This record gives sequence, structure tokens and C-alpha cells, in this order.
Amino acid sequence: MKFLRICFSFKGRINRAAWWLLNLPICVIFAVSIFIFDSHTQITIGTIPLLILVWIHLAVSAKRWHDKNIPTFWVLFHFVPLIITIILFASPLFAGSWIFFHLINIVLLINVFWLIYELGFVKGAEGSNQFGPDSETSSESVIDVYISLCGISSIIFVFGIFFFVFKEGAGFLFSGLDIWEFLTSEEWYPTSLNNKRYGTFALILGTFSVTALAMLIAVPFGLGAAIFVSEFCSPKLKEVFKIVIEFLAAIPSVVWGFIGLTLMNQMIIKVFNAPIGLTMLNGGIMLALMSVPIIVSIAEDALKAVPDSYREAAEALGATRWQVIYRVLLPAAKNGLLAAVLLGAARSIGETMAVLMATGHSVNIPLGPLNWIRTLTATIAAELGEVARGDEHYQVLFIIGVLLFTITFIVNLIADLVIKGIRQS
Amino acid sequence: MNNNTEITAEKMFTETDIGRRNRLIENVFKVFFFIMTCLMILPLLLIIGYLFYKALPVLSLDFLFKNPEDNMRAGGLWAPFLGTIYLVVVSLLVAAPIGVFSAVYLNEYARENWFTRIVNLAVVNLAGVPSIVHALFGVGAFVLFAGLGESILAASLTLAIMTLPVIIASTTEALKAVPMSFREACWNLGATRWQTIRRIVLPNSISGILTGVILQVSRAAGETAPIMFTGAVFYKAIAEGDIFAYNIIDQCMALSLHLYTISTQVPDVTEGIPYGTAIVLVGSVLLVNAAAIVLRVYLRTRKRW
Repeated sequence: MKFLRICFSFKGRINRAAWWLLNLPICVIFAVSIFIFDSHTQITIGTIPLLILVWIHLAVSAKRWHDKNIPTFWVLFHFVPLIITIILFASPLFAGSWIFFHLINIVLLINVFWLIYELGFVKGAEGSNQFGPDSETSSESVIDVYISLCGISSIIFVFGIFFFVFKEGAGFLFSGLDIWEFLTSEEWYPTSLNNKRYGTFALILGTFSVTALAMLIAVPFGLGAAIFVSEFCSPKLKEVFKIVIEFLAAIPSVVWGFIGLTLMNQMIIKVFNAPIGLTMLNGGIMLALMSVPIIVSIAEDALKAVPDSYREAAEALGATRWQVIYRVLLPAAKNGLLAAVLLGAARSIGETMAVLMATGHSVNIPLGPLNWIRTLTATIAAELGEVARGDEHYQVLFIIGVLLFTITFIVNLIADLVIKGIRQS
Repeated sequence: MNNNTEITAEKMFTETDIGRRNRLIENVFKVFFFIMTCLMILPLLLIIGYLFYKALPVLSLDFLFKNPEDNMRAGGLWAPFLGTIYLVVVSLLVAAPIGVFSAVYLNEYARENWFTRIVNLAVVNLAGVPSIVHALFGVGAFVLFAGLGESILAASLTLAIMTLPVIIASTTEALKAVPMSFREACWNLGATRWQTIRRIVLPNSISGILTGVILQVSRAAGETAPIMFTGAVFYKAIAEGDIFAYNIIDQCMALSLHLYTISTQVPDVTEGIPYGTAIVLVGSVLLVNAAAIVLRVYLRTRKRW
């Protein structure tokens, strides 16, 4: 409420910070709208919002004048260049001459700099004056609103992501796509000339099989490392391991893909005597290495969250360290460990570049770890660049995006509920 | 009686069979878990060593300051390297204020209620959205809807939203570490909420916030999928040595995409160049991360409470 009064009312006082905080976004919006809407038709659509911004600018400036004990009508100074332009237009003497333009420019510049100086830099009168009490903390309600806006921005972004991805694919989803076939058919022929088929079953299977394989490798190692780091390690060694894990997490996915393409490819060819090393196994190992850091850090948090009194009680009863871990810590931390595994899996499902480069990228129902596969994410990455906008194929790729969003959303939601579960109990 | 006690004491300090077995089991598991941890670390060293060894023939200063030549089969990394810097800086400028204030909201303003829970859930989910879905969002929202076209601006905004959770998470951590008594003391002096945040909370958590910002940089520099369709291109020639060579409403090259391109799309690339690109990318990312770690350690040594 206070914020709205600051924005729209011509009564009261505000300080310099509030003036800047409200005017800078207005300037940005003006600049962006000029940049985006360069054609005249769109400017007319945008007129009403822009007029509201002008109103806010004037109201804020008027209150700033009040702050310096100057009456409201001084906001008319904002119109000086406009008035001069109109007068010059009206008089036949100046029309068309170059002095005309220069004069207007000079007046405009002087006016703008003077106003910015007076309103943005000169402090208001101290104590209360005829327009209201001292304005020292008047910028706080503006700041509060901005901070709250930033705070809820994550919600806006999550909804925005769903909305825009859904919007691009919605047309085909409701008009032509057979959803049952989309989910269960293994025939992915989006570029076929006479019979386009959009079945993603093989892709879904590819995503889940490579994720399962990655988890099969990553979970024992991740949990083992978490137990070692949290329970057996000396503090110094722990620090070292944590840094290494952080580094492991920082390696970009495209580099993992590149490793899969070169080093791991050759290793698989040699070890398994396979014709080609770009297989599900390759992608699975890469994904395992990528998701291990997440599993370790969350699992370690979960183990750390078990109160020390549990450990002390068990040790007082004569349990060895391993018995403490096996009988006390693991049962106590099982929710957190489960969440760690789920978040690691979510990371694997969503990973794009590594699986695009390392799994062979060929539509195939996977039968074993040495088959090549193709995942949902890799399909989007590989094909989005080659489709025409608005095309059926283009829309199908966005529908796959919605599917991926939904899958990871559900997995994350479950992980969050599982974590919250421990906190409440 | 006396004799008897002695025997018990002796018995107490000699190990029983069960005790020995338990100790053995414990040691076996300890070594087992240690090996597991090491097996996780080994790949890191192996990979960096391998990349470095393979890249050695091409690594030189020229490699960094020359443009790619001959359809990207030879030459250096100047254009992609500069492009990555542009993308990172612009995304940082957007993500840092929003992320920091978002964390301030969650930690200082929000009450414990269902709405705050939803906000937290949104942050977690934002972090979990697959990078390629972020790319689709960038195409739908920034490239098409906002009319930015494929540009550095659109790609950076996509990256900014994607890396927002990194900043939010570490800033929240840093703000939580400021003791409540600091705030209470400040409130008791009559300071408002914002004055307390501005003068007490933020200055005391600045190092933690910087760590988050640095981690955002390292994350943004390595991402490929979100920029593929929103602003990064396979090839774009720019002036060598000119750091203002890109325009933010124009497209750019990027290190990560360049690595993908030359290792999968371009035939007959000079042997060492993809490895060189990979080691430059990994090297810069790890260097940035190391900076965050150094900052954190430094912060811990001079913490005053």
C-alpha cells in the first residue's frame, strides 16, 4: 500500500534513493520498449503502460520537489523541452532550419541534467516541512517491494519455463499428436517424407536405462565416499576430498562428453573388444561421474544431520565405528540418502551434452550396456537446430521438453518431500 | 579376592575374539570406503592429465589469442573465448542482483509459512530443470516472445535464470551464518530492517556471497545446451585482440559450443586442438572454482565470531 502511494500519489515526500530506485527501472523499460517495438503499430499498443510510467515518473519527481520544500507545480519543468518544441513548431520563422534542432537538443540536455542533479543528488530539507515528515526512510518500502519481487522470481521463472515451453508445443499437442503413440511407439521418424512418426518410447527407454546404469555405478561409490568423508576421515583429509568433489562437480558437461568421445571410447573398444565405444556404458560412466558429486554432498549432509548423541550412545554401548554406521547412522539418515540418490538421478535424466556425445546417438531399444542409445535430451539438442519454426517436428521437440520438465519436476518434488520428512520428524 | 581382580583387569585389556573381529571388520570397511573415495578422485586427475598431455603440442599464448582458421580445423580460440566471457559477464550482471536479493528475501523477510515453502521448492526445482529445457525456454521466451533474436543478450538471460539457484543457495548459506544476535543488536538501536541488512548482514556475509557469484561464473562458463539455440553460433569471425569485438544484440561463439562443434561436426581437425579447447575450458572453470575455495578458506581464517 505504501509502495503504491509512493508510486502514484502527488502528496508527501521521498528521498533520493527512492527517486533513483523508481526512475531507473522506468528508464530501462523505456529503453527496452524503444529497442523492441520499433514499428509504430506496436508503440500504439504500448501507449497506456508507457503513460502509466510517465505518471509514476511525475508523481515521484513531485514528491522529490516536496522533499526540498518546493511546490508541486515545478514538475512542469519536465515539460519544458516539449513546450519549446511546440512553440518552435508553431512559429514559421524557425521551421526546418538547423538552429531549430540544435536549440531543442541543447534545451533538452540542459533540462535533463539539471533535473537529474536537483532530484537525484541534492538532499532534501531536514526535519518535517509543510508536505510531510522527514523522508529519510521513505525508500525502504520500495526496497522491500523489490526484494520481495526478487524473492518470488524463482516461482515466476519455474512457471515461465513451463508456460513458454508448453506454449511452443501446445498447437500440435492438442491438434494432431496421438499422445498414446507418442509415449509408446518406438518409431521416431520425424523427417520421413511421406510418413512422419513421432514415437519417443525408445528415447524414454534410452534416458531411463542410461540413468539406471549411471545410478548403479554412482550410488555405491557416492554413498561409500560420503560415509568415508563424514565418518572415517580426519578433518584435513576431509577438506581435501571436499575440494576434489567440488572440482569434479565443476567440470562442464561438454567436457565429459568429449572424454566419452575420446578416452572412454577407446577404453571400451579395447576392454570389451567392441566395434564402437560410444555406447550406453560409456554414457552411463560419464553420467555416474557427473552425478557422484551431488550424491556425495547431499548424502554427507544427511549423515552430518544425524545428532552426535546417536553416535555417542551407540559407542557407549560398545559398538565399533562400522556397527555405528551400519546400525545407527544409515537407518537414521535413510531419507536424506534416498534424496541424494533421487537428486543424482534427476541430474542424470536432465543431462544433455554428455549423453549426446557419448552414447552413439542412434534410436534403438537398448538391450545391454554395449548397445548404443539415444536420450530425450540429446534428441532435442541434436534436432532443434535443424527444424523450421512452427513445424510439427519443432513442436514435438518442445513437447519432449514438457515431458522432461515434468519428469524432473516430479523427481525433485519427491526428493524435497523426502528431505522435509526428516526435518519434521 | 586380590588375585581374582588382577585377572579381571588383565582380561579387560586383552582383546576378546569378538572385539578383534569387530576391529577387523571396521578396518576392512574403512579401507574399502577409502578406496571408493579415491576411485572417485582418480578420474579427475586422469582426465585432466590426459587432456593436458594430448593438448601439449598446441598449447601456447597464440592458441588463446588467435581466431579459429581454416573452417575451424586450425588456429586458436580467441573468438570463442571472448564470447564465453561476454556471456558470463552479462549473465552475471543479471543473475547476481536477483539471486542475492532473492536469498535476502528468503532469509530475512520470509516467514515460516506455506508460501515460503513454495518459494524454496521453486528454487530447488529451478536448479533441477534440465539444461536443454532451459534452452527451449530461452528460445520461446527471449528469442521469440521478447523479440531479442538469437543474441548474446538472449543467451545470457537464459544462462542467468539457469544459474540463479547457485547464487541463491550460497548466499542463503552466507546469510544464515551471520548470528541472529548481530541483527537483534542492530534492531535494538532503532535501525529498520533494510538498514540492518545493508549495514550489518550484507557486510558480514560478503565473502560468502562472492563465493556464490564465483561459482555462478564457473557454472555459466561451462554450459553448452542453453546457449546452443539462443545466441551461440558455430562460427563468427571477429577482430583479434579487440575485447569489444562483440555486440550484445548479436551472436557470438562460445568455448563450450566450440568444443562440441570441433569434436563432433568438423572433420579433420588438427589433432591437438579439441584437447586444447577442452583443457582451456576445464582450466578456466577450475581456476574460477579454486578462487572461490581460496576465498572461502580466507573467510574462515578471519571470521570474528
